[in-house]
Amino acid sequence: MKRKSALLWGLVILLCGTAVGLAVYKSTSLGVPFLPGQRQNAWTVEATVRFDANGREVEVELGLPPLKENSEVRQEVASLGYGYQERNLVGQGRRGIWSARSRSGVQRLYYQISLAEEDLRSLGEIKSSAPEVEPSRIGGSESEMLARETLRKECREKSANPETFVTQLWSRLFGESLSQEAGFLRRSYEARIGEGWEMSLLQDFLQMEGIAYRKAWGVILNETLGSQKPVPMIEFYDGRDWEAVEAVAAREAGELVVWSRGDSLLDVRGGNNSQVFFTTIRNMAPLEATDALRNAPAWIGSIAALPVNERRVFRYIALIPVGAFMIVVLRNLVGFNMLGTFMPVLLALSFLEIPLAPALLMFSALLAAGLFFRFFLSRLNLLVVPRVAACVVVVSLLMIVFGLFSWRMGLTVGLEVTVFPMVVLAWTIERMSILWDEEGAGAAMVQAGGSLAAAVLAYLVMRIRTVDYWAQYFPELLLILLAGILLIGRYTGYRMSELIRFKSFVKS
Amino acid sequence: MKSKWWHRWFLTPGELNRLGVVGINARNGRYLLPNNPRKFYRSVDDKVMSKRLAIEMDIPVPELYGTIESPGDLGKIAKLVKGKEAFVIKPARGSGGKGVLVIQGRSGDAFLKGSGTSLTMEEVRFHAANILGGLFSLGGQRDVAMVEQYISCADEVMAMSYRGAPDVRVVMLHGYPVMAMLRVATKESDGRANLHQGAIGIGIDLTTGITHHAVCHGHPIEIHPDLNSELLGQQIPDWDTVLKLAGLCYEMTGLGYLGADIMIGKEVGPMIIEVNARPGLAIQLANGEGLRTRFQIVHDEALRMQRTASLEERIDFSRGPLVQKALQTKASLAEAAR
Repeated sequence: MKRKSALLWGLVILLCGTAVGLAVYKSTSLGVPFLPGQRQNAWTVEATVRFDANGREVEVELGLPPLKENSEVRQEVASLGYGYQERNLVGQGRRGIWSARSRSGVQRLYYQISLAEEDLRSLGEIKSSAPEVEPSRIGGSESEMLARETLRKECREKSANPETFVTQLWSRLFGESLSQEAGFLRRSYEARIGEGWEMSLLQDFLQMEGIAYRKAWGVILNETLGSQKPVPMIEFYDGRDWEAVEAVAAREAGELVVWSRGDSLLDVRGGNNSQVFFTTIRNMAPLEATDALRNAPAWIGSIAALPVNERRVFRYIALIPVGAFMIVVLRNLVGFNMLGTFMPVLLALSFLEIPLAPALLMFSALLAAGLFFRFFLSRLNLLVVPRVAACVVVVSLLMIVFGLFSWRMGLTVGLEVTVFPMVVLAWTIERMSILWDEEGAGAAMVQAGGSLAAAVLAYLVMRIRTVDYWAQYFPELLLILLAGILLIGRYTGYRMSELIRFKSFVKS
Repeated sequence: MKSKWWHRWFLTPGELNRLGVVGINARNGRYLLPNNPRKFYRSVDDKVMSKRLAIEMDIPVPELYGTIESPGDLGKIAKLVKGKEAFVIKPARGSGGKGVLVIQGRSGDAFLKGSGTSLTMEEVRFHAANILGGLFSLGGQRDVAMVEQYISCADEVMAMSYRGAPDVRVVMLHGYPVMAMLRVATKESDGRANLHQGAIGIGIDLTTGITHHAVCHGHPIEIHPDLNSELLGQQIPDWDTVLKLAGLCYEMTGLGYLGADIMIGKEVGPMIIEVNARPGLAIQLANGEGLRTRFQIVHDEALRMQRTASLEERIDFSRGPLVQKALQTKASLAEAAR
């Protein structure tokens, strides 16, 4: 007993010592701040080009954001066996060019840039005056011309300059309520042009009005999106500056910044099926610190040194132990009653990706619908594994129906239903229904409620900015968590629930 | 203990500690893990195996009619229960009474449960199929269904239970009986003897086998809510045999900390129904006394005897010195608190 305790405490001290030592070294020698900064927010944006090479010479040209002097920027290009250079083209800005001889198969090229949030916002600001443009007539069917003219007049009357004109135009074309003309134009352009019709529609109006414009491409700053397609944008000249508006009717949430300009964002010669997508991630430490971490020896771990796409995954991996720790605390110190030991952690992870209230609602709805179906199934006398498999099928169908319904009703949040771990959900339904049969609805509700409450609590802790920051930049602090878990593993005192359970002792 | 305003809702850890209450963490960390090596679990978690062990040692257990080991065997059930008016189907690896189907009688082709519900052969077979699928076993692993003899209980204990077989739980440490309780069903518990489902836990005096304290949902009661029968001051029949059987479970399994579940049959006398390697803590509520003092006394005694005490010596210690010392400690603690 004594020796075991000594071993445990030794281990705990060793773990804590290692964690604190590493963290202090990182903080003092590498300059990684111990707490997440408020102002020094920086973003890393990664562009991934993917195409199928034809087997001959390949040249890929990608529009890149302009670089301002005196701004702190880190760029990184990754591509095996390609030569890379940059060129500045008039009217298009900076272009990155990859070239190689005789390539075949799927190719992937990466370009990564990290810079401070303010710098990223002002990427679009390029001071140059625009050429004078004369208003011109746009062709098309009689009714199209009529509708355009009506809309243009409305916008002109309610505006004073190009900027207010475009604002008026945009809200009339893509806003909440559409006039008859706008609705007709949208349908007509969409049928005629297909993808990118919004761009042509805006272009036509700007030409009619004689406003100088150019095409641009934007990126949405939202790290929960994962891979995103570039957002087509239009920049117009309002007499002093270039202003940008998005040329899409609907897009994902998040701040939109201009990435590059020019008619085409990506040109691939010697390949087909080419596409470019972006991933954005927020760096919570200043850029020098991230540099220092990347160049540090391998034993100093930090997720910040990984490619952006992988960082998203590893961030969750670093957060899972936090959830596990919460479960240990809630079970062994508080005395929560839960369905399945670590199910709440998985649930908490899915809460991280969508707002809490809709997530809880959706989960409860899925659980209720699944339970209802499960009770129906139990009358068919099925064997256990086929029954759970049937539950999986039904849960997946429910998710699809859920997504479709909410999309119809205009609630995009319903589409996020996919973040719930399906198989775990099916087993939860199965366990809950058995509990329902065996011990009554009350016990089932108590356990389901306990699991949900534990998931919410774990989520609330994982969501704390400092916790997220430590998980990403100081993963060695997880060793302290481990030490805590070991200590709780040897805790033999009362659970909080037992203080209530045994209260009647006083009477006897 | 002086009554405080918070006692309506909870007790402080210090107060529980003074009462000698053992919590789940302490049970696991102090009594279960050090005394129950993993290798011994198999003999209790697999009830087919523990039944075989018991028969080898001449410990009375309900007769095993047969086992259903695969879905192909499901057809065997009808043959196994042929001519048996009453029988029990239960999972070999179940825990906490989960998945136990008790058939108390027949009416034509139908089987009658204790609660009066009737089941068809098809439903009985489905229940066995669920057991095979691992629905009730620890960790959901595949399982074996056991078909065994139904024990009808002695009238003295049956008078305290509403439609359901009562059983005696004896908690043992190092082979010494430490505390005992009788669990009886209520209308709410639907024929089951699980305390958290509303069954009644009745504390039994180890020395005499007479009930002295009873709780339902954690509250002390004296009269059965559904039957109006007296719960306190009742003599458990064959008490000597009950303790002896419980004591033998230690020899049989080698588990230092265990709970023996014993049913008192009408003609067949006490029988071991199940040995539990992880007995719960509700027995403290049923007796109105914490386990820790008794554990301590038994632990010291086991060390003093260098774990060589015979079954008779152990039972005699539990029925005499253990109960007296526990009472003394309780009294002196109360004195000190005053």
